[in-house]
Amino acid sequence: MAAPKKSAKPPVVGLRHPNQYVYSCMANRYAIEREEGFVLAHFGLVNHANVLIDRLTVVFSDNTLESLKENLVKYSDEAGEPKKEIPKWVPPVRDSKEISYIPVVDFLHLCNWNDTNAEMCFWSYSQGQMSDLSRMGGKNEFMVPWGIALLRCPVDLQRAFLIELYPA
Amino acid sequence: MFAVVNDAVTSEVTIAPAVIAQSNFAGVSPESFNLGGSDAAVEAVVTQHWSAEMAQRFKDLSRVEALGELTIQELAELETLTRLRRSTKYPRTADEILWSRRQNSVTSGLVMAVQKYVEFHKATNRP
Repeated sequence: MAAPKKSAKPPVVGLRHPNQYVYSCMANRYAIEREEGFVLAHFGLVNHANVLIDRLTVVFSDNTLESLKENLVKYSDEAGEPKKEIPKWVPPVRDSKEISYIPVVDFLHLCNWNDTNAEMCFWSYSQGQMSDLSRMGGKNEFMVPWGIALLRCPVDLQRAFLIELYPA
Repeated sequence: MFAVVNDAVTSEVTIAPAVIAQSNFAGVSPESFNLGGSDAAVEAVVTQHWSAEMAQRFKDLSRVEALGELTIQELAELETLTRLRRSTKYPRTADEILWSRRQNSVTSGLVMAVQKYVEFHKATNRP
């Protein structure tokens, strides 16, 4: 009996940029917290007096990090290593009001310019919707993800964050 | 009844977009995402392309570097070209990149240890 033929190309679904972001912020500190099955990424904006004036925490599942590995590590290789060290930062414990909301990330859109500025956009989408669209098999299926947060930071912070996110 | 205001003054804004050096997203290409059950994978996207001029410049700078005559600006340019050449002409997988980082880290640790060893023997007089 002949083996079943493999389909030439798996179904693909494209992502468009989100129409808007729920939150936008800046950061000059970051910290990564590894847990079982997920990774918390903390970002903070600290002023001259070392006072935290804004913060953002998002969560990546291990599965998402694995699926983004090729993309993010290749980007990290292109972007290079940080030229200036980002000070170590321990994010303060979140209070009870904050605990209820940590958005989950499905795609991380990155860019940098002028060798100084960088942007990290955290997108979220339904895996179920993605799967349904893929099953429909159309040639130009697109999905508009939810823009969780847009974060502006120094390029060295982005470089250091990526190297720590995927340790050698 | 509504009156149409024709002489409204609005602030027109013209924005010069930043020249993005690197990005990991193709925009609207459906090929960017490759969904196969739980093995969803995203391909990395290189925004800059390797050109014949860049290849020539890379050769020229490499030659000058071999003679040890590069300025700091040229060295930075060579580093940028080297990275772009590697990612566009000879792309490596994520595992190869991480392996290479580990190798660099181990090598630099070894060099530092040897340096310390040499300094120790130079600086100390045995009792």
